[in-house]
Amino acid sequence: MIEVIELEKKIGSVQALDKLSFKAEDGKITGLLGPNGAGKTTCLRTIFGLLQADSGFAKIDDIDVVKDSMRAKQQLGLFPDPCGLYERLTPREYVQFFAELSGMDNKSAQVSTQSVLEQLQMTDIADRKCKGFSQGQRMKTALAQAIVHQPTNIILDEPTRGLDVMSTRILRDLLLMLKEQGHCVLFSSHVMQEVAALCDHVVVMTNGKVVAEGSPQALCEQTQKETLEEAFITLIGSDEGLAA
Amino acid sequence: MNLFGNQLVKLFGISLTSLAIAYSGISCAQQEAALEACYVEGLEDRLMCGSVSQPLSKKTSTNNVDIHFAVIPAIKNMNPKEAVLAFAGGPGQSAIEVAAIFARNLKYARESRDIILVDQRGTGKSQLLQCDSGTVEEQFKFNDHALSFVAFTKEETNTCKEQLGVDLSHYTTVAAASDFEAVRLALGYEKLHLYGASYGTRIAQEYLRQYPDSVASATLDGVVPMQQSLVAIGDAIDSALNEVFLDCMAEKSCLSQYPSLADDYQKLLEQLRETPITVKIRHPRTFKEIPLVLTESKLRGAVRMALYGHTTRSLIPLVIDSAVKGNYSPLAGLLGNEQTLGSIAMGMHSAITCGEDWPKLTEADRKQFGQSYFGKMMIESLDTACPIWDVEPVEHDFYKPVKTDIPILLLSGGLDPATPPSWADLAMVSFSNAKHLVSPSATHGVAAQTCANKIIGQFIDSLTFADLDIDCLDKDNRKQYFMNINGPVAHQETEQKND
Amino acid sequence: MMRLVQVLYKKEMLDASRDKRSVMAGLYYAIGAPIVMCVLFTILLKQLSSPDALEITIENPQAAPNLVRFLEGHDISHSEKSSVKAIRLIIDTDYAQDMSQGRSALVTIVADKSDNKLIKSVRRLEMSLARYNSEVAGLRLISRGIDPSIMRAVNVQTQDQATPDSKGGMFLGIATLSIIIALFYSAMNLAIDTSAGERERNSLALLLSHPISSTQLVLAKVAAIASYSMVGLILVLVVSKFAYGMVPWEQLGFSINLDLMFILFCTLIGLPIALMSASLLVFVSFMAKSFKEAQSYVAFVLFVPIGLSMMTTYDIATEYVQWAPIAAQQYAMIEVIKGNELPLMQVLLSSVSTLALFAIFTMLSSRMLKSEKVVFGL
Repeated sequence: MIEVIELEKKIGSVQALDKLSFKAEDGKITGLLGPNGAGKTTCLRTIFGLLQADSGFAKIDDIDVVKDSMRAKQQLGLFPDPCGLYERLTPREYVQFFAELSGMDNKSAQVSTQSVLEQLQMTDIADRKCKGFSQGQRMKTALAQAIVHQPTNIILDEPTRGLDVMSTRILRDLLLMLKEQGHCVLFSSHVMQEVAALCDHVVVMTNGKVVAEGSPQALCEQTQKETLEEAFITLIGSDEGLAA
Repeated sequence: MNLFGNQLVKLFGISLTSLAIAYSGISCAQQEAALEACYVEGLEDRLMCGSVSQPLSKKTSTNNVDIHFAVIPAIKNMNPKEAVLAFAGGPGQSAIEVAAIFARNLKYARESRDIILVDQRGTGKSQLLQCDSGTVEEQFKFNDHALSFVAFTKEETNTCKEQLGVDLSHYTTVAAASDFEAVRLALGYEKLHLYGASYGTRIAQEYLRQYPDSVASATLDGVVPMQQSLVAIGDAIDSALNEVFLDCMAEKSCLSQYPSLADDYQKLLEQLRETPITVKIRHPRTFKEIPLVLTESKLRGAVRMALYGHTTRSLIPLVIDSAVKGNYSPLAGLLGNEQTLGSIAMGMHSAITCGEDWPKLTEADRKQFGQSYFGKMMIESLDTACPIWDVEPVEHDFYKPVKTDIPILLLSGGLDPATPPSWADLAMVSFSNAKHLVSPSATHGVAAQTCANKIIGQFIDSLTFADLDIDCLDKDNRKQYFMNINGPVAHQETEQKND
Repeated sequence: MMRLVQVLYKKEMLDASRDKRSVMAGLYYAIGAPIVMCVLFTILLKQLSSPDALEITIENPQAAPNLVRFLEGHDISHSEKSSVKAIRLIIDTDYAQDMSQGRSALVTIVADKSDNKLIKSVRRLEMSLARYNSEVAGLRLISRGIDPSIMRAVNVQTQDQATPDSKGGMFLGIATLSIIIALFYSAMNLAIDTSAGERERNSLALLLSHPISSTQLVLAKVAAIASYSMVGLILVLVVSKFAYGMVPWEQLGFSINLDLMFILFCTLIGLPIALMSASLLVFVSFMAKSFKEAQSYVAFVLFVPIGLSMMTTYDIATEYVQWAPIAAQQYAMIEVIKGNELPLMQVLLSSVSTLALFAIFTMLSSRMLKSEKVVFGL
């Protein structure tokens, strides 16, 4: 479970996070939806302890990420944007490295690397160097890295960016699988369809604030729109409109 | 205490021959030598010095003698398992004392190999067997003409023997060879390249005979054959002097300056044989007036020593001419010039000559060698001194030429007053892999006067004779004779320029 | 704690070993520098040393045949060939007359002494003439009945404490300089790649999102870079050993011989320097905003250790500088080659201060990585 409470963060003169609070539950896929520059990435980075909040705090499974960051990080898997692959390593080496880095010993890292590679059906590319991988292959590798140490919580930063239809489908299946396994999945996106299709819970944010929260249906109902996209535009539109 | 002893040494000086037989050397248990940095006169380089203790005699091994040695480090040691072992002349010279000369002679060999200098037993730091010799004043004043040569030699030998108090039989060439092997073992070299000069060629050949497996090559410079008697040196001296007279006659300016040099010399000798000349002369260093009794042996001795080196050789016509004309200063200069020889260890010198050279003299030898002045003198002095020294004669096999197939380079100077080229030919009769090079204008010690140091370097590197660059040995490097006390230019030719 | 450093170290080593270009760039230096140095030294030595047979122009030789023959005996002769050195020896027209009358006969050497290629030859000619001088003077004294040794009022004996290995002087300095620089250059690209490069590829943030502290991260990277530096060092030592063996040092009467002891010694004192160099490189690379920027910073910063080393090389170091890191170690290396006593105090002290610098740079880097600006290159 990931919990964000009253986060505030200023980057330069911009208030990137402005008393941001939400919760992502285990066994659910939570989408963080917002226009570019809404503060999604800043929020996720703060959860990882890469950025320090000016006030407020983030908790992973009730562990404060600032106070006990090592333990908190062990409960987290990150699918970053961009992927951050090591082009000279093979997916097996890459995944196993991160498994060990997350605290697994060599043996179990090996075993769980193998199983995650099988799970993601990437055994055929497991021992090729990442250089020259297609976007889908990269995404899979990054995802394998994020889940290899079986964290309860998995965070994905814009996971579908640049993916083709096939890859997007694979990703979708994977996320559903993780959800089934009882993981807490939090991802940020600005693409309506996938949020609509996947998320159990959607957090709509803009200018560092949560403007609405709930299941896609609930949001549509709240705004009385047919589609989530329209609901989204309505939700942020007034503000955007004002800003514009 | 006197001139005659010193003179005697000078007569024998450098390059004695002799042969002793090999009662094989004293055992050499391998010992590690502790080395420490040291320096020698005339050489800036830091050497490593050490010593090994050797039994004085194989039979009565109660006494030991410390054999001292010095290593001149290679410039770039590319052959750490090999070294060049240099043997000094005399006999009686200390190899370490003349390190600077060896360093020059072996300059090119040193580029890639260490050079070992060992003070042979009885010389230098290895239990020096030296007796007093007179001061310049005493030598100048001494009238050897007036005394019985035999009586004088006896007295002198007895004094020296008493002073030393050792059995010289332990100091022969044969006995010394094992010391060199002990040094090799102590320093851990696998193979040695030998370099011997003058008498050093005899000990080098003996070492080679006793320890052929330790030797990679040998260079013999001014060769003393094992079969040759030292007393034969008289002829070499005479012919070397004759060469000076011929040279001078062949050169226009010398001939006009000194038109009757050979005759003048003979006349002067005859005169001195009758009556020595006594004059007042300036001491060569203190400039005090001191008496000089000029005898035949002093004149001959001074001229002989002048023949050894190129530079002093160029003074001979001037010295003779001046003396004939009653000016004895140049002669006094030669007599007082101490730097011709390093000091000779008189006791060790006698051990070699009496143990090796004297016992083998036959009647025929005595007759033949006695024909020359120096031969006669040497036979006489050995006949007197050796019974007193009572050195055990070496075994007869010592006089056999060394038989070997190790590569050997022999060097001779055409003007050598001690070891003429014919001696080298005699030495190499049983060398199956040898080459004899003659530098026509060199005197005694070819490596010091010619490009032979380069040739030695090449030879030690390649161990073959084919590629040696030997043409340079033919270069004429005789000095022009002094025409007056200022140099090799005669007075007259003043105004011949400006046309 | 160490486990994570080890995991990251392993990955860095693996990653780096696959980065053929960076590795090779470093190793090119290690292999190339000694070889280039040797070629240069060989050419330089050729120019500095006087040829075996020195050919010069002798004017008016007929006035002094004895002198000319003496010089020939010292392999100095007159030549009309094009290989003749630009040295003229002019024998005065009155030479013969002056000589015979005991006046100083004039010979003049005409040469450009600022020309390094000629210096040795000119000196050799001067030496030979001085020797001729004393030879003739000695004979002149003998022929006056005087012992020539009186001209040597004092018998000056010099005891040179140098060994053939220690006479290399500046060559020795340059050789050790090239060895020390190997520590900095052989892993330079790698250091930039693993720090600035890591950030540019966006994997730095990912790394830091894992349960690894920034200190651990820096330590692992420094260790990996230092490992490659050490590989470079050992390589440069081994190549130098063989390459320097081929330079004809003996022409100048010395040699530079790198024996096994020296190689071991260098490896030992090289370790703290490698750590320091690695931490410095990482620190500077993280300070830069991009890979390219890091490259130029690093190139600039490397002037400092090289400068220290140069001071030792050219022997312009003051007392204090000789105790500075790098300068002191290089000084010790030179002493070891020379076969002199090891300046133990200096080595220990400078190694400690080198390690202190390593600690400081590591700490600074790790603190920098706590800053979001650095991590995201803002």
